[in-house]
Amino acid sequence: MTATRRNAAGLVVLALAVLVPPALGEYRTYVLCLMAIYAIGSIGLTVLVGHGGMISLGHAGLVCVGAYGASLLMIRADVSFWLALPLATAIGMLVGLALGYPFLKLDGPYLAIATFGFAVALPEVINRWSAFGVGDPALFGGALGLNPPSPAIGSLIINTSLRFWYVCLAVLVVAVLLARRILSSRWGQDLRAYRQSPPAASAYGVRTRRVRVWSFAVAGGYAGLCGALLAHHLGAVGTSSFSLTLSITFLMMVVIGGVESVAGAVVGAVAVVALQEWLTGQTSNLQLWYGVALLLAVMFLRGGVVGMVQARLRRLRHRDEAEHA
Amino acid sequence: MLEVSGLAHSFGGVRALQEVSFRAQPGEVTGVIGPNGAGKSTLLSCLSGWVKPDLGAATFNGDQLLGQAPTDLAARGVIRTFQNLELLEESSVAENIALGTRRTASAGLLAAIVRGSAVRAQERRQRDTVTGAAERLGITTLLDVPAGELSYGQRKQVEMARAWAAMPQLLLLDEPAAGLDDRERRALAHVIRQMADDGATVLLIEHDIDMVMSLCSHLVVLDFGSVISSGSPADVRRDPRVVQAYLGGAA
Repeated sequence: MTATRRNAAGLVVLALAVLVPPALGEYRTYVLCLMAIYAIGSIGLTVLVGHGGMISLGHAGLVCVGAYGASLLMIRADVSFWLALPLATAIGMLVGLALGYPFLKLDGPYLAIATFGFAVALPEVINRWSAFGVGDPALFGGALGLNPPSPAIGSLIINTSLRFWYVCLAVLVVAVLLARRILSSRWGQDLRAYRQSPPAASAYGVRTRRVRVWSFAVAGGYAGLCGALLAHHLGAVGTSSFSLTLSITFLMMVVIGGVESVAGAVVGAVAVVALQEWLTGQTSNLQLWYGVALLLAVMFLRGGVVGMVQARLRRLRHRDEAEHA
Repeated sequence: MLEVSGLAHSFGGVRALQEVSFRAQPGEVTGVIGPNGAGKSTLLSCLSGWVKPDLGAATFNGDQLLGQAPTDLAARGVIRTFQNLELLEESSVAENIALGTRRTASAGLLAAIVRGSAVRAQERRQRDTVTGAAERLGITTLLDVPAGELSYGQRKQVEMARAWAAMPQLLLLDEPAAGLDDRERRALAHVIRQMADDGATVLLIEHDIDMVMSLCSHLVVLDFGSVISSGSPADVRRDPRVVQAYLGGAA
């Protein structure tokens, strides 16, 4: 797609996203919010997996960091929701950096297992916090979890899904634009060069260690932001929301949408959440059909949904050119 | 000027290089020839930071080359090519060539996000360099094509365009003509000549004797890791040790 056409398509989607939800009702809008929130998280994973070629099974851990970070800031430090969003992003980036350094030498399955370890260990630390005898035993709210307050703009309290949807949409738009800018930059080129040929990247002056570590920071930042929004969306923040399944769900969103595309991360999040919602309404064979749908998607959607659409459009354009030639 | 003296390296007891010394001048193409296993690629790996030799020294314009990381050498204009090309297969030709401009561009994450006027100017320069390099190699029509979809000859051209875009001070070429047909070889020789004329010190490892003889003003002949002859192409061609070790009946 040309840049103009892509921008036009983006604007149409944005207009629909602004105009349609008031007609959808509370529950559907609630689901839309979840799509937008997961889309933000999956954009971060696209940077790491699609552009950096590093498989992470720990994305839910970073989202968990963002959710707890934002909740604690709001509850304990009386920080406003609006400030908690960038702060949770920064906390996510820092934790991403802290993971990126020790994981520098790990690749492929080793990296996947290391990130998996992080995602498994973190909720356990939170669950058993009171047993450590460090600081306040009720820091993470114990079995009840944390209940961050609802955000507000002046006297307008964001306490309906529709109001929160516009917040999520605005954050998502910023997140998408920022990701596109980052990935089209010299930094994004370096990251792709590192993925495809570490020797060529080094031979032409790319600081591969640095770009790798910072790609974890970017993934962590997006995960942190996703977590902060998710904290409000869930109402009660507990570790059960950040299971290994969520990490794998993020990976599926990235793969189904198309690993190398920001739009793909959004499409993947929408598709996976929609699939989950639809299957929830069906009978008992939910997990089976979920599995089958994913299998088919990965087998037949090379380059994800976005990759398939792009290939289609390319073929159409070639046919046009051939006919006019 | 590149000055190599007393370079020695062993891989697990096998001597790949022993007492290798020679000089290469800017604006000239210096050829390194020798049979397979003579140590040519090891020499190139030592000079480009991939292998740290056991002994010896190598300086370029007075700066020590040995013991530096490839990234740091690249930043100083020491650029190598790879026998297996090492292209970015899924990226466009343009992005492949753009990797060459990396050493003269900053690439911080913050710069990417802010994208101030300096960064935008740098992006414009990068695009100009990429276009210029593609024109030199005659591959402007391929700029949007993923490198993985190209023929072998085209892929070699992309690799040379990438090296060109780096504006190297010291260019280390590892068998650039391998696998090319006659027409492609002539075009390649022309590009190498031009890069030397632009002031680069070029070290050419190559099996194509005709190309080496026509391009190089100075030759270094390696055999079993040692320099057995060096000098002008004409001198080397007459050297009986070379005839015996390498050129054989062809000389």
